[in-house]
Amino acid sequence: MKEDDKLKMFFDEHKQSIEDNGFSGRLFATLDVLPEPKPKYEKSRLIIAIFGAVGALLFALLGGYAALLDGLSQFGSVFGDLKSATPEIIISIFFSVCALFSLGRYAIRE
Amino acid sequence: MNRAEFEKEVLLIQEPLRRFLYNLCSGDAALGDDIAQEALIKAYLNLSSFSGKAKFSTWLFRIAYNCFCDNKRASKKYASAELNENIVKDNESADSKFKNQELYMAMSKLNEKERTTVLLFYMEDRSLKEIAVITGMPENTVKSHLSRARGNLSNHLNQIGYERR
Repeated sequence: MKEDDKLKMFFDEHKQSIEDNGFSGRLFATLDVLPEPKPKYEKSRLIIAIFGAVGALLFALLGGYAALLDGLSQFGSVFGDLKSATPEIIISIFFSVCALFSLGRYAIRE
Repeated sequence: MNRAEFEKEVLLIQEPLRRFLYNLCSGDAALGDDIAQEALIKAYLNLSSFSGKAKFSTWLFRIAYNCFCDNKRASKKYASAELNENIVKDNESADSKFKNQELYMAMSKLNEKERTTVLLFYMEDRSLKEIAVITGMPENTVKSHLSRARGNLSNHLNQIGYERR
């Protein structure tokens, strides 16, 4: 007989069955006199909502839509001619990818 | 999770949780129940911190194990994990008394971490991943504790000539 099987048998054979014997009743009676647990207050959600709103406002006020279209057209030309890729463009692509990745992760988690 | 759902979960989990604590306390049923009560009250008051990443029962076992460790630190009572004759209940049959003694004798051959992993793995059928969550140890450490415990227990069972009855 394998040692592992022997151990399994030993523990199966020695597994006690535990009667409730009023344990749950006593526990629930104690819970009755305790205050209701407070619902989770997530600060992170509030912070995300505030910064998201501020970001959207700044995007609209500072002409973000036009800049986005401009950026996308430049992005297309970068692939057309890789030599025209400036450090600014590379950095902006890097941060855009990071932002999209974070957004994706947040969406999956939620 | 609301109160009704919590109560439903407690009714399902109370037996394995209390058995685990009894065995960790070397058969002291009163102490095991006290720790189980304390753990379940803590769990209820902190229900909002249950993230759902692990199973609810795993989360409860983790709280119970932490309560056991706190209790042990406070009392330093189970360092040797010796079987106390007084804690064996009178209403137990001779056969179950003997079986419990045999179990606690085997458990006394292990240190506390080995005992915890063995009880969770063999008696409560928990996976290595769950044991890692419950004990807060890395999975590889759990594996090595389990492997050492297997060796020690096998030696002990061979010494006492254990065969399935």
